[in-house]
Amino acid sequence: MTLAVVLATEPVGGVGEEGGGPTAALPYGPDTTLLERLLDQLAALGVHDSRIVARRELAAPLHKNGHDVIETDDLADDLRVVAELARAAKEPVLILSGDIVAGDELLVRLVADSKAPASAVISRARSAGPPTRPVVRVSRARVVSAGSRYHQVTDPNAVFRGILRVAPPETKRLADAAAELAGLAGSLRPVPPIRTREQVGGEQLERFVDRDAEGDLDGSSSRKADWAPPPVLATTPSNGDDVPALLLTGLVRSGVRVGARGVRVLVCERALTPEQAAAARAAVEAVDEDRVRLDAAVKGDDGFFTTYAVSTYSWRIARWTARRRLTPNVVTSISMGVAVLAAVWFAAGTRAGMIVGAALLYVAFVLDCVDGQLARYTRQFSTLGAWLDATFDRAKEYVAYAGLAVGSTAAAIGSSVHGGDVWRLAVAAMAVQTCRHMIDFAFGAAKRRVAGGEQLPVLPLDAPDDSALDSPPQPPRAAGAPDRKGLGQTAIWLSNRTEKMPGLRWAKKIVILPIGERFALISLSAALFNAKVTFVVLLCWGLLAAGYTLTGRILRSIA
Amino acid sequence: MTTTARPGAHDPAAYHGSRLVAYRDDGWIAQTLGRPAHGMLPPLAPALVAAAITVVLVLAGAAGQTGPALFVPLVALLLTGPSSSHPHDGPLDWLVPPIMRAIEYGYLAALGFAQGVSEPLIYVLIAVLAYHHYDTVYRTRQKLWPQEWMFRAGLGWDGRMLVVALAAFAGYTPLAYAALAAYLGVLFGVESVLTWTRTGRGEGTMVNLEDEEEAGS
Repeated sequence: MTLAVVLATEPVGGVGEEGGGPTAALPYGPDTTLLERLLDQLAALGVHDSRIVARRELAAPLHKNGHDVIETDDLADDLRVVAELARAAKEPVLILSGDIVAGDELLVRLVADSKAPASAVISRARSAGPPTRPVVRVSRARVVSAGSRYHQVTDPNAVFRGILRVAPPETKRLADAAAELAGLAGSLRPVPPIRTREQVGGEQLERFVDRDAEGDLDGSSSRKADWAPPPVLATTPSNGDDVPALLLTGLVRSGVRVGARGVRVLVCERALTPEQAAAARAAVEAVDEDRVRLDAAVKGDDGFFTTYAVSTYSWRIARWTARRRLTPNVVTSISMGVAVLAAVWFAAGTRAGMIVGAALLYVAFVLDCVDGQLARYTRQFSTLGAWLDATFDRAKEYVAYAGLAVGSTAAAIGSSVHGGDVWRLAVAAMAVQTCRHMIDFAFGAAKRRVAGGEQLPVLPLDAPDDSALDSPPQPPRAAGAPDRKGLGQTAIWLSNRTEKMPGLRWAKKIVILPIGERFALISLSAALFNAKVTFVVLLCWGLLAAGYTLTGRILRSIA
Repeated sequence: MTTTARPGAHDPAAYHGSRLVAYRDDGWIAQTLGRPAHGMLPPLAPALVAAAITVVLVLAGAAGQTGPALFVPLVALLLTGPSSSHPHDGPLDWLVPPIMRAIEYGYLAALGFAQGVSEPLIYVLIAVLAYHHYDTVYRTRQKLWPQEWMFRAGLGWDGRMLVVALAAFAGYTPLAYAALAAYLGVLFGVESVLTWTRTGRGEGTMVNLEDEEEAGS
C-alpha cells in the first residue's frame, strides 16, 4: 500500500487572485479536473489513501468537487501536515503536486516497481532560458543536489517533475526534513535557482563501478532521450510554494539516497494554466503507452546475440503470448521443455539430431527471452517466476551439455558426429561455467556491500546554495588522462573510455561469453561439428572470459 | 518458516557481506575450525594457497593414489577453515567463494576420473552441487536466508570432499559418489522447491534474480 499526499497549494494566475482557485481544480477534458483524474489514476493502482492539502482560501472549489481537504494557512502549515503524515506512515509515501498530468505507465512504475528508498521523477530535457521548474543535479542515477525557490543548485542538469516517492524507513527522515523546513519557513529568502561553476565534466572515477555489469539503475539511464515537452508546457513559473521541491531538497540535503527516475518518453507535467492543462492532456494522449511498455519490456543491456538475433522480434511473441493470456511461468516451463527436447535430439548422435537439437536450443533461448519480456510487459512479477527463470536457464544449458555428451558416445564411430567420450569435457565445461557465475555473484555481493555502506553528505537546510558539495580544486592535468596514478585507475579509465566506442563495447560484451552467445555457440558448433568441438570451444572461451573479467575486477577492487 | 534470523538483517552492508560467507558453503568442520580465530584471519591468502596445492596435487596424480588423495581435503580444510569466520570484507575477498568452488569441483572431478567413477555420475554430482550453489545465491538475493541446519545437512564443501576421500581410502569411491548425488539431490531439491513455492507468487513488484550477473544472465 502507498499513501499519497497531494499538494493543491498552487493558485491559478498568481497569489492573491482569489477567483482562479487551485491549479489542481483546472479542467482535464470536459468532465473532470486534474485532481480528480490524478486520484482516479492512483486509485486504479491501489492507492486509495490520498490526502489533499490545500490552502484555506483555495479550498472552496475542491470542497465543491467533493474532495476531503486538509486546510492550511501557509507554507509552514503545509510542511507540518506533511511531517505528521510522514511520521505516522508505515507504508511508502507519494508526494505530488495536485496539478500533475502524468501518463498511467509512469505512475505504475513509480508505485509498483520502485525499490529505491526514495525516488524523484526528473527529466533531463532542459529548456533554454530561465528554468520554470525546480532544477536538480543528477549523477549516476541519483539526485545529488535539489533546488527550490530558496535553494540554489550548482550546475543543474535536470528538472524535477513534481513527484517524489519515499519508502520506510526514509519516511522518518522525510518527516524530520519537513518539520525542520516548517520551522525555517519564515526565514528562508528566495534565491536565483542556478549557480554556475561548470566543474562538472571529466570522468568521475568510482571504485567498483562495473559498466559491463551495471544495469539500468532505477530505469533512468540516458539510453533513450527524454521526451521534450511542447513549448506551451513548463513555461509558466509557479507562483505558490512548491512543497514537493522543498521536500526533495530536504531529503537530498539530509543525506538520503534519492534515485532519479527519468520520464523518458512518458509525460509528467505540472499544468498551471487552462492552456497548459489542455496541452498536457494532448501530450498524454499522444503517447502510445502500450508500445512504450512493450519497448521497455525488452531489456536494454543484453548481449550482442540477444540484441540482434532475438530481441529484434521476440517482442512480437511476447505480445502474442500476452494476448493469449499465457503467464510468464508457462512460457518459462515451455522453454525448459524445448531445451530438454533439444538435449534428447543431441543425444541421438546423428547429424539430423544435432541440427534439430541446435534449432530447438535456439527456440528455447528465444522463449527464455520472451518470458522476461512478457513478465515486464504484463507486470506479472513473482518471486517464484524469477526463481524458475534463473534456475531453468542453468538447467537448460547443463541438460544440453549432458545430451551432447551422450550423443557423442552414441554416434557411430567414424561419423562426423562422433567425438568420443567427452564426459570429462562436459564436467569441465559445467564446472568452469558455474565458477564463472560464482565470480559474478561474489563480486556483485561485494559491490552491493560497498555501495550500501556509503555515507552521503549532509547540508544545512538554511544554506541558500549547495557550495558545500563543491569538489576541491584539482591540479591541472593532461586532458583525458587518468587523474590518478596506478594500474587500477588506469584500467577503470580505459574501461570507461571503451564504453563510448560502439564496436569495442560490443566486443567487450561478446568476449565475456554471455548466455546468448553461449547458446548460439553450442547450437552452431553442434550443428556443424560435434560435441567435442562444442566443449573445447566452450572451455577455451570460458577460461579466457574468466581471465578477462577477473583481471578487470581485481584491478577495480584494488583501485 | 523460511525467513529465519540471519546475519545483518537490518544492515544492508553487513547483509551483502555475509552473503559472501554463505557462498563459501562451509560445513561443520570448517565452521568449527573458524571459531577460535574469531574472524581475525583474512581468508584470501589461505584460499589461494589451498587452490595452488590442490592443483599441484591433482596434476601430480594424487587423485589416483588413495593416500595423497585424502591429503587434498585436509590441506584445504586446515588452510581455509580457520578463516571461515572472517567477515570477508577485504577488497579482494570476493575471490574466495569462487576459489572454494574451483577447489571443490576440481577435486571431485579429478578424484572421480582417477578412481574410475562413471563419468555421467560425476557430472550428476557436480550438477547437484551447482544447483545448490546457484540456489544459495538466488535465495539470499530474495532475503530467503538458508536455515542453519541446511549448511550442516549439506555437509559443506569440506564434508563432501572428506566423504569421497575417505571412500576412496576404503575403496568405495563410486558408491560414495552415487550416495552423495542421491542424498544431496533430494535434500537440496526438495528443500529449495518447498522454500520457493511457499514464498508467495505474485507480489507485484519487479523481481530480478540476475541483476548482478555479467557472464551469466
